[in-house]
Amino acid sequence: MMCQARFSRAILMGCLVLTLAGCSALTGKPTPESQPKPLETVTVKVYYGAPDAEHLAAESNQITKDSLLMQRAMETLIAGPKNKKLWPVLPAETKVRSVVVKDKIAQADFSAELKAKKSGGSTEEILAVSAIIYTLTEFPEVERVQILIEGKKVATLYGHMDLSEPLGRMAGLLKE
Amino acid sequence: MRLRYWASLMVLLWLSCLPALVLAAPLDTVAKITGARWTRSVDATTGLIKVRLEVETTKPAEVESFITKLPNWRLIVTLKGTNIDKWTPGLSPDSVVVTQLSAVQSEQNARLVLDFPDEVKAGQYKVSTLAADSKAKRPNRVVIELERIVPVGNLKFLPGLKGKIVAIDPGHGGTDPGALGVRGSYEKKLNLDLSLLAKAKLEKAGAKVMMTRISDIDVAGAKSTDREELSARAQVGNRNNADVFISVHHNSSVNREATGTTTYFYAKTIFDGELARSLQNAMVRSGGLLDKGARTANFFVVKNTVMPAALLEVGFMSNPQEEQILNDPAFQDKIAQAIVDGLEQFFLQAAKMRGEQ
Repeated sequence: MMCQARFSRAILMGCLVLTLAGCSALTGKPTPESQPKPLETVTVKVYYGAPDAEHLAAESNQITKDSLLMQRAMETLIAGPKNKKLWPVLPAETKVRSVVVKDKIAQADFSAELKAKKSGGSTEEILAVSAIIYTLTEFPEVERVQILIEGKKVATLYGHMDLSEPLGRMAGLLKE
Repeated sequence: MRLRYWASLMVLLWLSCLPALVLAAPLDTVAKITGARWTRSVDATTGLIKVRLEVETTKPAEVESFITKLPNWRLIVTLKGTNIDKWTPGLSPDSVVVTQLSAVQSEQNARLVLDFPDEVKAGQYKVSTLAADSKAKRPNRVVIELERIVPVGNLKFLPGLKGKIVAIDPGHGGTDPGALGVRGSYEKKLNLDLSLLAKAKLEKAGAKVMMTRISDIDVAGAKSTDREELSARAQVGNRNNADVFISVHHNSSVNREATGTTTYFYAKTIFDGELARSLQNAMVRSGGLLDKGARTANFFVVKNTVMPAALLEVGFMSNPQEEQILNDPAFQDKIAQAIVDGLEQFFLQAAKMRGEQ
């Protein structure tokens, strides 16, 4: 029995080798260089509204590691959380125009839809703004964030917060 | 011979179990947190604010502490072999010094997390323990002392409302409706109604009231930018040399269960926090909604006014029950009176701080 099993395994392996060889014969020269490199991803923490919608809660996301990493992190924030108990905090139709880092300040530029809702409660405004700030300051090269809309500085989002200067993480938004 | 051998073996076994028995003490002999006391003091000449938290435990606790920068500037205090039990940490008495206190049970240890608004350096905090004092009837305590300096501000106040200039800013208005209630009320209207009630009561008490708006309009015009609109509101306080500036708002959240009263301030002088606390306490006392505390926030009108300023969030319009309460004329009258009482309390407190009384 043992012998037989080993024998059939050997046959299987042989078949596999032959099949692979056949494949490469058909597709030409599958040299490693011409194969598309698997995309390197990194784990990025993205912050959404916690179940109480007053604090923030993070979700880990695999995001492609390239020059658009921070922009993709913002797009993941806009797309909303995977966990149904968490709250999306930015309007889903918002587009990210760019995220540029200079002197530890990230300039995060969004489309006009960020203000799709002209006004909201201050709790909603604090949550939306701090989700952007907390997510971008997860990157060690970012300490503060300046929010732009259509390339321009804005005074406020929903009429309470002063967004005219870059802001760092505000305290009291994480539960523990 | 044989019996004696077995007996001594049993005794040995029993003895070796003793330390284990002591270690595996039943839960009720483990230290428990029974409560906590906050105390706070302000030095009006230096702007030094000191906050002291005494956490009471049933047994002495071994304590470890360290500071973190990420995810926030925090002091983490671990009480070894201590159970949080039914204790829940309350609100911080001064959000300029400690934004938030939370407690988590981490296996056998109680972990206290104190959030700071900004960087904390060695010397700005101290953690120690105090043994039970049977004379003073005080239990074992873990003492956390914190301090921060806030700009003093070149301001002087006398007690009383007579002759005071109060700027009131009913939030939003005109093209900006503010938050929308679940039952259909408009924040801009609730803000204006309450502000006008407070205006009448303040004037009756002898104060002069400057309003940013008295009807449903954009203060800087319908076509103004956000900056022009918010600056115009702050200017009503600044140009009229107001003693205090109060912005009246109603809150909203995607979570329909969110509830409670909050007062926001920006610690540009030592008086901003005092004003916010006085108004918050008065509103909670007479309005009866959940106390969410006086909190710091980077809000435009409280930051860009030169006098002590506070932004009131009376309650949540997104909560169906609370929206009903907020629309009740009797409740609105109580909150309007609370604004008067809170201001009276503030001017008295501010005068005491500067030795004017």
